[in-house]
Amino acid sequence: MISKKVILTGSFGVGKTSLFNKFVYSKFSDKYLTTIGVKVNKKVIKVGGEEMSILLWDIAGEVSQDKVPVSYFLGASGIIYVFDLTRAVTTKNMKEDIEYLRRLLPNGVIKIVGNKSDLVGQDIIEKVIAELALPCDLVTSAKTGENVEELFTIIGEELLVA
Amino acid sequence: MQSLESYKYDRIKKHAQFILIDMKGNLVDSCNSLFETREKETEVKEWMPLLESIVNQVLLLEMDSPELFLPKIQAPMQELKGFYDFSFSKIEMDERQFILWIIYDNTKIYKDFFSYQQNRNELVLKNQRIGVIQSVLQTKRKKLNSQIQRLNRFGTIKRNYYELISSNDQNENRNGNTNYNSSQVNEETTSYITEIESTISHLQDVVEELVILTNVKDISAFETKEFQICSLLNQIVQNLSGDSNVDFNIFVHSDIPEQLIGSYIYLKQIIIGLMKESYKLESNGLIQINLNPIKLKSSENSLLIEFKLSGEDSTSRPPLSNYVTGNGIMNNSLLNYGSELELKLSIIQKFVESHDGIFKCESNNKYNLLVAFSFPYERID
Ligand SMILES: Nc1nc2c(ncn2[C@@H]2O[C@H](COP(=O)(O)OP(=O)(O)OP(=O)(O)O)[C@@H](O)[C@H]2O)c(=O)[nH]1
Ligand SMILES: [Mg+2]
Repeated sequence: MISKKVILTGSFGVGKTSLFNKFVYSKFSDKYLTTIGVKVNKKVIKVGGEEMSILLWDIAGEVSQDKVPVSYFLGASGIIYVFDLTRAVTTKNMKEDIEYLRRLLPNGVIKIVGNKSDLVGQDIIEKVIAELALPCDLVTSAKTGENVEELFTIIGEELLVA
Repeated sequence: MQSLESYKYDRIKKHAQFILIDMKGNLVDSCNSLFETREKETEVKEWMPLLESIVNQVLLLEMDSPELFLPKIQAPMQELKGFYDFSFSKIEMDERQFILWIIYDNTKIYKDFFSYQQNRNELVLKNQRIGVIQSVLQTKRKKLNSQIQRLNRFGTIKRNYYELISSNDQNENRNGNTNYNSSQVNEETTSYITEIESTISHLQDVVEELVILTNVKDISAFETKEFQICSLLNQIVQNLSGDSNVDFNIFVHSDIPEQLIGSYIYLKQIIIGLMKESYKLESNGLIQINLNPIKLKSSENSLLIEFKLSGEDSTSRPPLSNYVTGNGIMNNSLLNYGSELELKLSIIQKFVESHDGIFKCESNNKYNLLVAFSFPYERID
């Protein structure tokens, strides 16, 4: 079976662990427990009729990506860069962060995801996305599950051809 | 005395596990200080998803490669439930090459670090979140105000519109026809209606944002702090009263402590909102505020705050609407929020009810008004 390492990264409190838990365990909690370092787990998904094992790394949020230990990125095929739709500051370093991650992973799949869509109305989502330095690939909610499965399917499909 | 060297050796042994892996990724040897490897699979990548995802890269390490160090790994496998640092390096032993994998158990250190990071992040998160919602609310409020101002400028059209409606009502009574005669609906009336519609939909947005705000639990508006409830009330009365002729009378039941812990900003906002509306309704007369204890399931200590307007100065204003006189029964249609008073009251109602409190509002003659709501608090012991 093909297996791919995918990293969830971004600023703290944006919902990386929540997306991880929703995807791997179908669970969500409103309580915030910050991540120290990294937690890894896997889930097998089906893409293009084939099984793929996603080895998901949920890492501690950092305001700027160059603070994340470089060793965490070793062997990664994909990165999900998460920001919080309710906190504009979590998009502030997006451009520099993505450039940095691109340099680390020149051939990797990188997705930009706005999370916590359940907390804001469509108008706010549109406003926030319009002001981003880079286009947003998907809007998710770890709470309602909106676009969570879809996110990993999209990544899986791109990793299959990459 | 134990030598420092052996002390160090003991410590490292206790808090670290050394594992030797061959260049195919199979277990060769291990000093089992942290967990037992005897029952484990030979291929180390089977032990944990973390290894599975990096083992190929680890096996590519060269003798002169720097050590590969992965800090702060949380609960990587069943037997390791704390926080660990992993180090991988290529070594030579008896002329054979291996990967030396060292697992350092730093659970204790990282647990302290966790509490520090948790507190720091929670605080930042709280402040940032309220910031976004407040800024959105502010733009909405501005837009709403300008729409209301435009509405007010439509004075004559409004009169025409009402005339149109009433003549239409008469027609309707005569022939039971509910459709407007299209020639009667002139352009100005249409734009007035459009304006009303957009204002109403905007009002709806504002209310919805406020409801979101009340649902976002940990925001600073609901942060509790120690304060004196009487001085809060007196302070608001003094700040707002200006040169009005309204008399305020505040009654506080003796069971209610002077100093208490509760959501100060939340209470302050409600009281200011109510007082401002009271001044609009009452230019003479008396406003009575009562604080009494009340038993509620949702919290150990609660007080009931009653706001009573005598309605003596009633000649100068229209009667209160059905929303107010109907005990604040929420009707989802925003068309019922005829005035700012009703909008404010229904927002307060949503605020209070979303925190499992009670809210009441009534008027027995359409001019006097009683608004009552519960406020949970903690005693200082
Ligand atoms: N309403 C809502 N809340 C969410 C969502 N995702 C996360 N949260 C909440 O946001 C807070 C932070 O979520 P986490 O998943 O711990 O954030 P994180 O990015 O892992 O944070 P760090 O580990 O500190 O970097 C928690 O209180 C979650 O319950 C979401 O989609 N909707
Ligand atoms: Mg986390």
